[in-house]
Amino acid sequence: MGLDILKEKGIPLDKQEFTWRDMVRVPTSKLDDDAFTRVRIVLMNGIESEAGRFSHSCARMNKDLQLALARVRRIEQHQQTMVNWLLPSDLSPLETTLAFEQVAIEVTASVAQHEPDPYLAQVYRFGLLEDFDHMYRYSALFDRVGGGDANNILQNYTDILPGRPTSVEHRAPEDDLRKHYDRTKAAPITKLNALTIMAGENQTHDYYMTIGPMFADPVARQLYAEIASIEEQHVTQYESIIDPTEGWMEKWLMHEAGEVYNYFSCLQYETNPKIKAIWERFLNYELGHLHYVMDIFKRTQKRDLAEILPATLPEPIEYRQHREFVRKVLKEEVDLRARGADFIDKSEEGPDSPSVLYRKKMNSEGSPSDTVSAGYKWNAGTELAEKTPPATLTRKGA
Amino acid sequence: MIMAKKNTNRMNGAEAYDTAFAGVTGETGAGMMNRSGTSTSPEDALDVIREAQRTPPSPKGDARQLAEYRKPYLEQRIPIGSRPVAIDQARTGRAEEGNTSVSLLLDKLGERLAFERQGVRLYESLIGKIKAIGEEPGGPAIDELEHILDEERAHFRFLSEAIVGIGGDPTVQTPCANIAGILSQGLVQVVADPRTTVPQCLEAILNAELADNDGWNLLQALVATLGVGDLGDRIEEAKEHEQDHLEMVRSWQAAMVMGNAAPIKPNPEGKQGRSQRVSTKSASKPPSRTVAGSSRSGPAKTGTRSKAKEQVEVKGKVASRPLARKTGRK
Repeated sequence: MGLDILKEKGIPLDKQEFTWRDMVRVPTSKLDDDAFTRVRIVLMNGIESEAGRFSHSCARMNKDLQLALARVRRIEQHQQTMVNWLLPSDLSPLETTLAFEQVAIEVTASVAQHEPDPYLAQVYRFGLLEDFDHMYRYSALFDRVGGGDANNILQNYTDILPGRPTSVEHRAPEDDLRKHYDRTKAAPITKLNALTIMAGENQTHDYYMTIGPMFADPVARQLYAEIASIEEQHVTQYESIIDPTEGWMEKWLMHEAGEVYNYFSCLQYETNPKIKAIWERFLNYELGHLHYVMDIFKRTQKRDLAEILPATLPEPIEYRQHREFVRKVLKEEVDLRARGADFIDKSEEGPDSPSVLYRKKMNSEGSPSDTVSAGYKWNAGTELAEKTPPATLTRKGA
Repeated sequence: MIMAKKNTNRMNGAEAYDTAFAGVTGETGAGMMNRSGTSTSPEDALDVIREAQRTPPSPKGDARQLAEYRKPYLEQRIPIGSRPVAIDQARTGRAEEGNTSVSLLLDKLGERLAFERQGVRLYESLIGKIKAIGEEPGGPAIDELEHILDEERAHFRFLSEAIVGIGGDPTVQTPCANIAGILSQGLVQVVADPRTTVPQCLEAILNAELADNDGWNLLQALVATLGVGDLGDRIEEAKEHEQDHLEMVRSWQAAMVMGNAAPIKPNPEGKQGRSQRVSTKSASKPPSRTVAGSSRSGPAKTGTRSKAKEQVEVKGKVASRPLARKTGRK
């Protein structure tokens, strides 16, 4: 299944073209498409969003790279548009939020299980339980304010349960920074995992910051404010695990390799043939970008590409449900807290620790996440439905 | 600590407008005025209008071109989602005789189910608001709203049972349920907003009840056509409840709006101001009120009607909303 990214050159930049009509397709169906098609669309929007964010930062610090960055960035702008516009208009902001949290749960669960560095695997599991809790809080909001059932979006793949309570996820900045991998020793999958999860969390943060004010209900507005703050912490956490001594060119290469890896993963699992064709096209576009950057690297750096890039891509992200894994992590690690870069049991958190004091202050006028889900148990068809699930329900294979 | 100073840079703009209306209380609070119209600043408005009219469009054409541009998407005829099928058919994948009719019925039952569920949340939200700010003259009482809420819950349960009864899955979001959800997003936004008044919320609820009444009528006709007779009685009962809800909401809204209305007096020059160009007939005429046609029995019904009727006579103070503009920016 491995893809030889040094050999496969994809489509060259000058053949990567769009029109507005091509870019804006008929979107996917909220009701008929598989939830994991939506998960992939959301994640790939995040991956392309990170590509743009990195590219602009790099351009601001590297005059000589500005034109090359702009050329690739223009194409990635249009890739991102085509991908993000696959989400349908009937997917409300809150329903899209549920999809974002499903991405955070299922993709992070896959990454956590395939991460060879035990400390980083722990970091992913730590973040996973927090996003898992966000799903529960947003599901309660969706049910209690909009009369909606989150499972219509999740399609029985993902549990809706309390995780590490959002109200205790608020930490002082010094407790959000983690140890980073060593760029000279880390496995390629370690670097790709970090980039992928950081990108997903960053777009989630940005999305909540955009849509939070669109809600009229003060509980909803506060809940988005609260969870957006946690997503900011998550971005802080995940960017800190990436080796900051990687140079700009090394980082650019890794971003392009990460985009190749993610489109490749999507391609392996996609069930909608129209979307699969897009993943295939963009995999070839990204291979084109990677080789374009490799050429620049060879001209400007006195280093061997093989020090940075793997010859073949690691195993793809597993786009399937991970309920058993998540339940196990929930059972064993829900009471973990952070002290500096380390994880401790909640009993070890002193009453005067920076995170406890910060959390106490933030929650001193009430907790929107606790309020919205007071007494909430998800039930098929919403909490207003009869508590016994209809015996006639069929299960989707997952 | 840095303290903000009064901004004196734009006294010829919005601040002058505030000064001109100092002491006037609008709906949003003391000194707050609605700035959205051209009358906020007639000179600026004339200037921007002239400039827009003077500049040629880019390119030439008209709004009909949008329809042409949409055609390629429309021609693909891709639906928003598939109708549900009976669970046995979903399991076997067999299309049987009558399949289409069952799907149609499940779709419409699913629509009403979603609507009733959202209705429960809408009424809960309105009840929460009125509990917080207090009942207002002409408006609904908490117990009246809770009575409606109970009936909406009962309709939701009935629809779940009806869907199961014909072999469907009540947890499916059907295409029509999805459409109902999209439509009701605006209603939720209006009622959930702490800034909206009770009459503004009633406008949203009225929209919901109007659509709900037509929805039940259509469902009744559909069930009769499809020959699913055993649902008929329960649908008739729910329909009557909904007619009752509609009349109650209508009467509350009329009472609250009219309770705030008073004849508009001529200004000192004896001329009608701009705000008086609107017809005053409707403002001075009491609302026509029909109470008949409900089958709902018991004290709640009687109480609702008489209370609403009494309250429509209450006249509130003159609203500051229809204020004629006297000045603009200088």
